Amino acid sequence: MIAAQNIAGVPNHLQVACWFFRHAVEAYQYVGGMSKLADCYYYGRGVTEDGAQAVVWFQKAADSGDAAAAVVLGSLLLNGNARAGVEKDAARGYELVRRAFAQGYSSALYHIALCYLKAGSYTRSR
Amino acid sequence: MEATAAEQAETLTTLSEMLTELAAKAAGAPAGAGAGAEAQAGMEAAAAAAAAAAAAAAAADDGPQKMDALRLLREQVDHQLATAAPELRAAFRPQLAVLAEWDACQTACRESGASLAAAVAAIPEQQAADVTRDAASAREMAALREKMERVAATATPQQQAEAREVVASADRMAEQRAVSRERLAAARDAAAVAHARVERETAAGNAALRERRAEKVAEAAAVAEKAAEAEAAVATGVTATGHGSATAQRVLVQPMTASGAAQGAGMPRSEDRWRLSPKARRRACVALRVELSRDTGVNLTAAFCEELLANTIKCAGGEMVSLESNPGRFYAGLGQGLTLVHSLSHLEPFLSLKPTETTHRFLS
Repeated sequence: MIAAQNIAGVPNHLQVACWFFRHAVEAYQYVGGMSKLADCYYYGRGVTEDGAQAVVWFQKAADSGDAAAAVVLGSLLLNGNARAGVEKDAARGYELVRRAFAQGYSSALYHIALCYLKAGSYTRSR
Repeated sequence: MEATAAEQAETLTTLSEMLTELAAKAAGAPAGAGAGAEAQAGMEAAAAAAAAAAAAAAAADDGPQKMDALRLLREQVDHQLATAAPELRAAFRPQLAVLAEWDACQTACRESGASLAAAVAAIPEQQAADVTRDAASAREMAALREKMERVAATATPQQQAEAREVVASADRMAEQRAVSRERLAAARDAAAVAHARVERETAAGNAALRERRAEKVAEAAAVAEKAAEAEAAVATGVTATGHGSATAQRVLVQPMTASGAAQGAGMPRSEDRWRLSPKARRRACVALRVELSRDTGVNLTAAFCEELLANTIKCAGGEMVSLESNPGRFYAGLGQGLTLVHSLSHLEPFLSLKPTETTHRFLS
């Protein structure tokens, strides 16, 4: 079990946390760390906020089979996101979300439902 | 210089053939044709002696002994030819030409060796001549100096002062040269001593280095042996029970398996499972500290870092992850833990709990 008091003793929590995520990804190719690193860039946790870098890491995570990252990226594409510098691309977003759902990631169903609600004709036509 | 074995053998063959023919012709010559019955008997005796000398030469080992035997044989042949009739000597002209070439070759070799010896012998003479020439040069210089002093004595006071100054200057220069020579010699001696010392120290250093290297190899072998023993103990299900600190007890115990992890979930920290050797853990700790410091400027103490890496993390689904079992997930888990701690630190005022209590509740 992790020693909570030890973790709490680390200075600059977010900066070190971000470094741990990057270390997990770059040194050990841990796919789960990619979306965490993308989060850090997206919210500027421990690093300078950088939407483009966030999208890059979300994309890498999605390409590596991380369904959660695919849903996040799909959501950004479905709605468009100025903070991340992502232009709206409903088709590509829907595809990412649908693929995540096919992987068994149930949360993706929520975004699929939103697609039906917001762009019914689009999704129905498919 | 001596003839080669092949040359000696060739000469021996030539001389033997000559002796054989000489003996045969001497035996076949009519009495009174040369110097009468006495001469005939002397010829036969000489032929017999020559045959014995030829046999001795053939039996002798290659090298100086054979050369001596060849010389003796050659004397016998020369004697026989000298006492033989003129027509007999004419019959052996081709062989005599070969022998003449051989003689010339031997003479040239002897002369060459003599010239070399003379050159070697001349070296001390040349050195002596150099010394003599230097002494003569010094005498000439002294004479010249005396002459200058005499000339100065007859000159005007001004010229005398100048001459004395010149002489003093020459003396000073000579002294300086002498000092320089002494210093140079001393420097050479010092350099030689230093060189010798460096060579000795290098040899000693190399020996010490070799010893240290051997010690390191032995140490590494011992560590590897211990690790192998520990692995064997792990493979056979033997659980080591350390008697040291809690951290020490976590080292080299048994592999992290799913069932073991599930069992370990409820165990106190002192029984956390470890497979990394202390050396490997220290290496990972050093690498972490160095890279973290380089990338973020955050410096962790060695003890703190080691304690941090010694932990296991309970991930989503209840799986226990350690640095050995899944390093990528372990580091990501540490990152998540830190993110959580950071979030909780903002909630502390609202939760009215101490930080460690709060984080411990959420993390353990």
